Amino acid sequence: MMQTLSAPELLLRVGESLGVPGAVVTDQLLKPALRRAAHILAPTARGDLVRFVAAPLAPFGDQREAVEAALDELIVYGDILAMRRQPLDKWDVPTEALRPAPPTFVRRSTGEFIILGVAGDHPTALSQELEALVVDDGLVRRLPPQAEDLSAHLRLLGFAQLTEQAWLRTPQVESAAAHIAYWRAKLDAAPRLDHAVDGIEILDGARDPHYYRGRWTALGLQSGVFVARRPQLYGAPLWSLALVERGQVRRLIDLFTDDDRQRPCDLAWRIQAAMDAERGTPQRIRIRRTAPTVSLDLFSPLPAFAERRLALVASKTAGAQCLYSFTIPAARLADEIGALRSLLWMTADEEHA
Amino acid sequence: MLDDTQRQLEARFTELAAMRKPLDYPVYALEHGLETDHIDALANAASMEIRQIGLRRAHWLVWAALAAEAGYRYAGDEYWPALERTRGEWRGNDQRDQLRTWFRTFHTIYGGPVPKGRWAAHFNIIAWPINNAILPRYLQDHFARHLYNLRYELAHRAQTDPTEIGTLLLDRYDGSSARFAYFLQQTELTTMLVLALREEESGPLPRISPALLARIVADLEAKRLARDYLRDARSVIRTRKFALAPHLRTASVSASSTTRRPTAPLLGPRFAAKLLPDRGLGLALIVPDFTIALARAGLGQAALRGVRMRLAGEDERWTPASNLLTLAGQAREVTTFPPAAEPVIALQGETQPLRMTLGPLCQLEERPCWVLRRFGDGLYRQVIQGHVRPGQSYIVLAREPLPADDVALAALDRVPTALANMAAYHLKVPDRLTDAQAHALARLSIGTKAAVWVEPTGLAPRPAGAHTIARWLSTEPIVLRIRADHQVSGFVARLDGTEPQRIAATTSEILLALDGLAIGEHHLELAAIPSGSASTTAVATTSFSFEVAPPQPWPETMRGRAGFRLVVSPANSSLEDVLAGRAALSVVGPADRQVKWSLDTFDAGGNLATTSRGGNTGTRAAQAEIAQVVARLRSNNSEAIDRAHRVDISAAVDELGIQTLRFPHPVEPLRWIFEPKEQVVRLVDETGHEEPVKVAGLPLATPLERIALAAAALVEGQVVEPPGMLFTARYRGRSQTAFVSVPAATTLHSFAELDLAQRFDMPAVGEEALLLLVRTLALWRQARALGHLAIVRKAVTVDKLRDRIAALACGADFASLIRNGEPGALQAARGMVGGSPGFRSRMCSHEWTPSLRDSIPAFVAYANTYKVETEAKRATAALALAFDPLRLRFGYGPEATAKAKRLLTNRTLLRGAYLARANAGVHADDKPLAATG
Repeated sequence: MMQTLSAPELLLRVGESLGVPGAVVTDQLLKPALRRAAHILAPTARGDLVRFVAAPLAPFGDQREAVEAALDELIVYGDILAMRRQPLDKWDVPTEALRPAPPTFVRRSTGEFIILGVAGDHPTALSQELEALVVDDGLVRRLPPQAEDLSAHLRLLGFAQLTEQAWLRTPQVESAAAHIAYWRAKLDAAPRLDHAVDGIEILDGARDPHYYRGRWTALGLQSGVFVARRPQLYGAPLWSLALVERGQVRRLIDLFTDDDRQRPCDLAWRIQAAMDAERGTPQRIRIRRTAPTVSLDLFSPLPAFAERRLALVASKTAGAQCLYSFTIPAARLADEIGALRSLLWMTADEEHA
Repeated sequence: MLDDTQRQLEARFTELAAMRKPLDYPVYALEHGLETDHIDALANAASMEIRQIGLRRAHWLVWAALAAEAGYRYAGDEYWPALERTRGEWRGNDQRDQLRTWFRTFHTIYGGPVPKGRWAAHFNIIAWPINNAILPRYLQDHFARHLYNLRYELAHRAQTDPTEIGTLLLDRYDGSSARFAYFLQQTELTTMLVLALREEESGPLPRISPALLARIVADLEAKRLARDYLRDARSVIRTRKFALAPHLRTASVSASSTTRRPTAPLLGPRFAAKLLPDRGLGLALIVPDFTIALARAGLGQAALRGVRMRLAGEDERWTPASNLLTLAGQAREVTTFPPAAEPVIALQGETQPLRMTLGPLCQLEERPCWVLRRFGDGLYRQVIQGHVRPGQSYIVLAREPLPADDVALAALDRVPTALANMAAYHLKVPDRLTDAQAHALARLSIGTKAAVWVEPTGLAPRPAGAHTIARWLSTEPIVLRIRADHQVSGFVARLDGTEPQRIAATTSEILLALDGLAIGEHHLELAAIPSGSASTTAVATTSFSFEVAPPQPWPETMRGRAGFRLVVSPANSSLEDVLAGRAALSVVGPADRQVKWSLDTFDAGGNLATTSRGGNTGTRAAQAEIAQVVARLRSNNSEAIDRAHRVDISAAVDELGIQTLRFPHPVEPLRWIFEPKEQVVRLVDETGHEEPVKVAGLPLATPLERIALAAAALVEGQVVEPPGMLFTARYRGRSQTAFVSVPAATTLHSFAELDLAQRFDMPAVGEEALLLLVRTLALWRQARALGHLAIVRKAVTVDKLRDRIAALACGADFASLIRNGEPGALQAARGMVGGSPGFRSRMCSHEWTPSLRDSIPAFVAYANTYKVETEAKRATAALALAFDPLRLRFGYGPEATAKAKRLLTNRTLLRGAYLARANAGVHADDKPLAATG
């Protein structure tokens, strides 16, 4: 009834409960634990969710960074929804709140199913028989094609069906100039500021696009339009677009969409991609061929729509001398590079062995 | 053949009864042991006998077996046709009572089951064969799903209190199928069935014949969904075991449910706070549990009737005090810091005993400062004792800024807040407090608890609402990290008052797992045993209370967390209200999103019968636009809706999922079915035939005309002539009414066609006319609408009847102005009320609500003050006539006539009541729009 445990035994027990039998490292538990936490706390602030998962894992060291990264992936691929506060929400719901996506499936043309969402108190909404077939490659959970079409059965189990198009949330193709013009018009419509914005950081497009973190800087004497982050009390810094004149923020808008389809950071990263392209230094993809696959090394974060598209065909790995890499079948290379070019105005460089 | 089978069955059931009676297990008629082919031949032979000779007692067990077979395989629509081989064999006969008698005999001789519950009383004949069928096939999907949803609770209950399994299944059903809800009332049967499924291969004596159980399981598993549900449920119910000894299991359950909670002191309002991005400190009050307070004082919830309440800072709005019951445990935001010596919950209109009971719960306990601890959900909740522990985060609230020196020494950080007359601080207590910090905290009246503390590890528990008790699920590991701030040789732990256990520790920290705990509350007491240099210090102790709860079905729990909501206004409206446009649907969610509407119908087995897309709207669409979608769904699916056992209206918003409103149809022993193709209405009669069924019709063209009809003909089926008729059947004081609409043309060419030509021939005498109108209105209002345009035509007829009641009570010209409802028309109506100008004015200026109950006190008072009516009963009756005529009880005979006559004599009173209602309508219409933004 009462017994002392070692840390590995604790890991095993937590894994068992979260549907990850035989867990040996905390990383395996983070996404299921975040799904559980999102259900318990929703609608909730990002910080509360991270702390709820990370604090009880303290015996394994500080897990906050790993939990943050896992949470980002859950949001990118659609297990957790980042939304703005809703009219009927309670008083303590923050302006940007996280909610669990309901159990949902995406049926792909290949007959494969992508399983998304959170099943309340349970690790899965699938039956034991189907759950045993699920392949979790770290990005999304997939149900391989079966002899019978499972769509009707999944709907009866309570899953909502999402079309591939709706899941991808791909924005309209447009030129980088048109995209910048759209946001510039919004920025110009914002009131002119006559006070300083404390603590603001900008993404300086003039800096080397191969080192994303190095592009962020405190405001100096720059002028121009910048993607920026401004601090807020008790919350993560807000993503903004700022018009700066000799180091003074003159106009500023916070980036968000009313329909919650794109995260503020997704908007910011796409704007930056457009600005880089217009400056003549488009963001780059480094292609490394390792037959039968190809690795795409990326130097700037991709908006969620681009990551989702890649997740359908790729596996994601931590990057070597880049931000991160996707490995895709060689046959998909042209299509995926084409999509990144048309949606994010990127350029590919082939690395020769 | 019948004789042989009768003998065979006697032997079979005698053998089963001999085995089961000592264990008090019932024998079911479905356990006849006959092969399928034999059953078929037997049914033919029995059918021939009943037609040629009639029912014979010599073959009573044959009929019991056949009736149970019919109960097992019928589809849930009608029972008697399933027993028949020739049409009308049982539907039309008067021998049903004999069947019941034989099942009673089966109970007496062999220990057969006795149907129980409201359903059994209601369907007092067919309940017997259906109960003996154990689990009718059409309910098997429902059963498998319900078992799956409750699998963890059932696993627990099967070990702790198996006899209550049936009650659990009944109590926890959401009612989405009326038929299945009826079935669940057979709690002994469902208990037996679950235990049989659990012990199929392990039980000492089968509770149900293995062959029959195998048949039921095979039928259950014939469909993939039910198979998945059943297998997953059985694997949990069979394998999950709880390690506690029986006396401890029951002790923990009873401690949580009966002993501990009621005797705990009731807490008054407490603070809750949250640090919100860009908003700083948000402050709230946790509302106390007034239900327990009322119960302890021997007062019912009715004691709150007529009492109003207002939370601190809400200057304008008084609301019914009954809201306090639903607010219990909730954190309600306050925008001002509650002033000292004033109640944070103000009551109005309370009695002395109520004030004595609730008064202390409305007052904030005054302190030098309030200490709030951060819980896992990020909400800070007030710590009653006002102390802090190492490693925890706190908010400290005070009316005035605390002394700066002590604030600095205690490491308090000032928190910005928009609230006036208060100061707020944040405190993160380090793992080891310095003496200086502890002393500074003490000077600020903040106590410190140190030495040994407990932290949940692995998986954080759920913060349980207002309570400070942690909650894990029975599927989650309960692991605690126990630490001491001094050297220890070990800890002593005692769980739930059992024998203390010594736990050796090589460091001052251990991970302690608590396994196999029963569902309910638990309490862990801990002491740290000092060692080395710390051995002279006092033994540090602490305690930790927590709860183990079963996991809940995800569709239930996820609904409240979805990214959008589907709202019906007024809440709890019926399907007909929604389809007729009397209740509005709206979607609350992110702007600029597309909502896909659909309507699904389900058969008795819970299977999807039809699905229909109703078009798209935006999330912030006007109610009129959504009403158009609903109207389209209604007109495209009217036949399916009529036939359905459940109708779901759903709104889907891409990745945010689907929100559904469910409307199950209740099933009665007498009910009307309409076959639109043949335009035939049929009366389904599953009554006990203890008295004749009386049937009447009211033609749509002449809604006040009542025509007597023959029940037998309607059981067979009768063609309905256009434009349609309302049918009502009465049996043992209960009426079942349906309006069948049969338009001359199925396509509506213009809205003018909705404006039916109807004749309302009323008695010349006013009071008789009033009684006829009100009684007829009652029939029309309760009628289930069947057939094309039925909902619309019913609504039109109901409105016309209400208009005629208004015209009779107030005069046609006044009623016309009220119906118009425009401000100018109501102004003109005000001029016609008569009586005192003050009375007329009050009818318009008072803030009338659509609630009759809430409006009565003011109306009675105004009628009395302005000498319009001194008799409160009559004023109440006038208001009821205007608000909802069906709330009036006239009774019957001369007494009813006299009451109606007296009511009609005071026209000023009646006009005032109708004017008040018209103004309440204006306010009521405003509210849903405001609420949905």
